[in-house]
Amino acid sequence: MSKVKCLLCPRECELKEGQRGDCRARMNIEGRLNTLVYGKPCSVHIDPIEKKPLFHYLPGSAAFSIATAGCNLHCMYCQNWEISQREPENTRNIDLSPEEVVKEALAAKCRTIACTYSEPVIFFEYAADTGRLAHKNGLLNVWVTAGYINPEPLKEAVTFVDAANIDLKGITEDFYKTMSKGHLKPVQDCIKTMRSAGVWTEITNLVVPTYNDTTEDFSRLCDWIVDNVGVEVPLHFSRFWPMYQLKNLPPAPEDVLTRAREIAMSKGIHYVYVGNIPGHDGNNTYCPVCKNILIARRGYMILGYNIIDGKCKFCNHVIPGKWE
Amino acid sequence: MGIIVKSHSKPALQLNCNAGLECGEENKMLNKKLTRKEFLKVVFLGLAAIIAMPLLRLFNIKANVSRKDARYYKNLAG
Repeated sequence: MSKVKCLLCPRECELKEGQRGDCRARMNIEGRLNTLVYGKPCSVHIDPIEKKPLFHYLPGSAAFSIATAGCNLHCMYCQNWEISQREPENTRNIDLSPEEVVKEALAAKCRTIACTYSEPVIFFEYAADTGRLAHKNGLLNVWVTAGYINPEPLKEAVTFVDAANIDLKGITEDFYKTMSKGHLKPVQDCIKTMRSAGVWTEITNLVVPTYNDTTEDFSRLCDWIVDNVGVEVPLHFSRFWPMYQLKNLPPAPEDVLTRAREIAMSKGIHYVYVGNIPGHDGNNTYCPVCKNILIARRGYMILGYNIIDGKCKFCNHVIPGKWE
Repeated sequence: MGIIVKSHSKPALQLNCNAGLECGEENKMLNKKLTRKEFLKVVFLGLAAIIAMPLLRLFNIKANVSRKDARYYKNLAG
């Protein structure tokens, strides 16, 4: 039986008969590459879209969220390691075809279908078929992804993904190698491609104590964002909680997240948020021109809203995003 | 004066007794010594099970996974 080479992500696993890829979700069966997770999600929830996090995309709406087992990165701090670092045989999966996903999302009055929690790249076929059907039924598609994908499938993904939150986990190659067993450049390329293809893009950086929490880390990250995708891409600094292989570390201190946000705003980035700290000023959206509060939030909840027809209610500045 | 009713029902869980045996009865099976032949048989079966497990896994994908053609791959020569 012949070997196959998977071309979905930069790992490009070469698989002998019966061997599965690094993501655990694809296997060479009789000389053909099979996906083991098509229509077999292990997580299905309805979440506020702010949880993705997406703060500039249909705020207050519900996202029908699905994930399968597996991931093509192996982050030491993974918050969802119980599904991302497992074979699909070892997770509790349900049968949910693309048609059923769309039907359930419509029944629950969700505006979007979100492929999230683990990694939509590794359940690409399922996400693609579901996404196209979603469009036919008036729904929009969200990916919450680490962006570790090859250019060809990414070119296809941008034809059905409407909005994405992409992790920019760190700004050094060494960080990606050490923390996630991956590489930095493919992720940066994914961010640039999504943005230039018109996919609404927001970026998340999880702040991990001692790994990526220095002033230099934040500065370099923000410089890259400003130079490559622009100041209007919302940036979320998210607080690390001890998890998986990094239970020895403390949670990221609140003042470090505050400092990260200040650095980003000083670099000119307009919309900078702080996640996993309810009540922080960084939960809110402010007008970059008149500085008035546009959306007041506590965690995922919206407490006040001052955007009218996509503009600041106070000074009419156009606020980028999809508001209706 | 109250009436004391003696219960004859058995407890739901018998502790300190081997299943199927009355309390106090020895488990004669535990005292039986294995012959050399039986010992070697057990070792052989154990080793066979350890070797067979990866092969079983290869051919025995459980029903809660899919087997659907993936995209974005190529066959390699050889």
